[in-house]
Amino acid sequence: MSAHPQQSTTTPKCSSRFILLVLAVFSIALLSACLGSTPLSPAVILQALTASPELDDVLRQIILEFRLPRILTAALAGAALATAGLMMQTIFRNPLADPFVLGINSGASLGVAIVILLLAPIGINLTESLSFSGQTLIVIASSAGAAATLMVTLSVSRKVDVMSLLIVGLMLSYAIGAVVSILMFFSMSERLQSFMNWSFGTYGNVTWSHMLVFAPSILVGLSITLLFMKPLDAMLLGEHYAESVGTRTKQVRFFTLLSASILAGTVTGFCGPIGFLGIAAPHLSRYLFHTSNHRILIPATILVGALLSLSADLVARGPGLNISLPLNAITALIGAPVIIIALIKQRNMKRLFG
Amino acid sequence: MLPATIKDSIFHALAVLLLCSLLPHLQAADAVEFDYAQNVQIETFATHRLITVINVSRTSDDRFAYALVPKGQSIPDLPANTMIIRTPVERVVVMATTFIGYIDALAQLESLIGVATPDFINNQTIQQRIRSGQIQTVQAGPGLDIEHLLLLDPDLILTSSSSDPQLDGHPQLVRSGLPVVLSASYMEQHPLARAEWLKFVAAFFHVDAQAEQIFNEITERYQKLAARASVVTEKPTVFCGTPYAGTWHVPGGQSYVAKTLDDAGANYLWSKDDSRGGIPLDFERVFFTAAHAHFWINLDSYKSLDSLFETDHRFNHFRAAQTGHVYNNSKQFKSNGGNAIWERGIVHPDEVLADLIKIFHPELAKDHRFIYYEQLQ
Repeated sequence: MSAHPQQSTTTPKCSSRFILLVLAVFSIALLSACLGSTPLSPAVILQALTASPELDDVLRQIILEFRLPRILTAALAGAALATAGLMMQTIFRNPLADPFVLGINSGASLGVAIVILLLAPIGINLTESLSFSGQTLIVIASSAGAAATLMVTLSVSRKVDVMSLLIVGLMLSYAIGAVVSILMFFSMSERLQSFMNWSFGTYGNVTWSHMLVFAPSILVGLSITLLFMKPLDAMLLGEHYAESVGTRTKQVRFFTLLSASILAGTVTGFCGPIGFLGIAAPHLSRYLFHTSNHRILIPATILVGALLSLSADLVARGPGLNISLPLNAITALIGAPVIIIALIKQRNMKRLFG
Repeated sequence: MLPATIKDSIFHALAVLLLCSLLPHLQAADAVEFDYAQNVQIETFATHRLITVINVSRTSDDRFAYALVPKGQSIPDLPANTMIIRTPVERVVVMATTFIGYIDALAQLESLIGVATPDFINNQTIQQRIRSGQIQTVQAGPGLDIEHLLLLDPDLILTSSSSDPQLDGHPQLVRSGLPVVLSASYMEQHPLARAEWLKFVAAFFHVDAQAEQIFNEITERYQKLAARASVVTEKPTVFCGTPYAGTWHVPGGQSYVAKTLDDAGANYLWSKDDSRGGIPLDFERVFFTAAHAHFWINLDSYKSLDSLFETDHRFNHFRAAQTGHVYNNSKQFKSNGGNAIWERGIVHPDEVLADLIKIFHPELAKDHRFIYYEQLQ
């Protein structure tokens, strides 16, 4: 239960847990592929994947054009947010940190608020002349908003220590949030409704053409974090300690923040602000593997994030019901108890965070 | 303090009850009958008229009472919570574009002094008067500017309620003592019922006879068109709308949209559903049901098939899109000037119906030219 962080590197127990996790991710993905507007059998899924000519055209399109991109999006987004959350918790040595502490989330929402609340009422002309509309514009706006706040925080991160950076991020969030609420204050209710719809989050908007940008961005973000597994372990013991064992802390901090921002910014851009996965998945991984070793924790968090994300999406699509539910409400409903249970069971939280 | 008010209102209620029981034979002459509208009632008394509005939003079960007392007459004893409006009104502010259609149809645009959503107004006369300053712009929703409204000194503010209390400006208007009246026309389930609210608006201007006449003509035309479309043997399937931020709100089976489509001789794919408002669905669910539908209508602000497919190439998998049977009510949509279908179209469901019949059964409407709809290219 209270194994020391350094002891449980690659025990057989550990690898069997990994196998179980991978199995769980695949079974929930398969379940997701089978459930939805109409229940389909795994055999039908197989037919669609093998391009069998016997399959009805509508069913084939539902599987290939709707469910498959959605499952892939959910898995990637969950992995990305969870990893970004883990990075933030380690860098700030704060169990409450999440992917959005540096204001990426509010930056993205400002971008979207400008599009929905400010530009859209002025007219469709804007989108027509740029030859893309609605969804694409929202993706671009929220990614741009996230990128802009990211630039600010990254440039600050080179000048101040890590605690000041946390506060800078919080202040930035508040300030941007204030601008968003001013925009909301002057908007019509229909527009506010659209903006709120965006803030509910969804995995259903990423089509294959979006995937060409979405998946590579996330894979790049994840690969950067994998390069820093060892220095991150040192960072967890404090920047002074890390420096004393030869870690170039500023460089590590910069690149981990960069990767976390790419991950969280991409997901927020394409899917909206998805809360709770970023906090819940790292805590659940620590609880499952009893370790703070990043060599185990990073892959574990990726898998747990994908698992939680796929489950939340499955519930949000309301199988059996004739409606869909807001994804963000479901991630909170699943995420909050996970965090609470993990915290109660794992009383040595303080030790994990030095 | 409280018991006194309660006692007071009980007394008033009893007085009105007594009055009501004495009056029926007197009021019969100019009572306003509503044939379709279900959320409004107008009673006529010797000293005033009483309008009762119910169902103002999806979550509301309150009754709102409005006493229309002619100018120059003394105010009669009225039950508490009755908003008094002095009629005929001459200085009107509208908080939603839908009222413009009614006021225009009754030829009362002269009385309009304030509007809340200038960017959504299609009516050119009003746009011009906003530019010349004859009509002021007031803020709606959470950012309501009460002081500006008070300075305008309107004798009537027409508004509708939102089920979201955060977005609802109505309570704030009432608190500030402004003569504000709620409408529930958008909650009606029959297109003619929405048009019939013309009689409600007319009561404030004392132009009941005109409203009666206009509405009777509209009804006659609508019924004639519906009768013509009812003989069709093949009803094409149809679905509506586009998804926004991941959610596709399709009109419920009991909504006025569903009713209009039925009257136009189309088979609306969600007509079996029993909700009045929109049903939130995800794209996949709509695709599963509507992949083979013949027609696709009401695509929000999309003006071309290209912009539609650019947004999400999966739109191209609908049969209606492949066969080009995509029609939007965007013919009179102006980029910063609203859409006439939400102004004139509300009061003239016969025109909307004629457009729809031309879409679904062109052979029945050879002479008709589209007023609100256009085929997306």
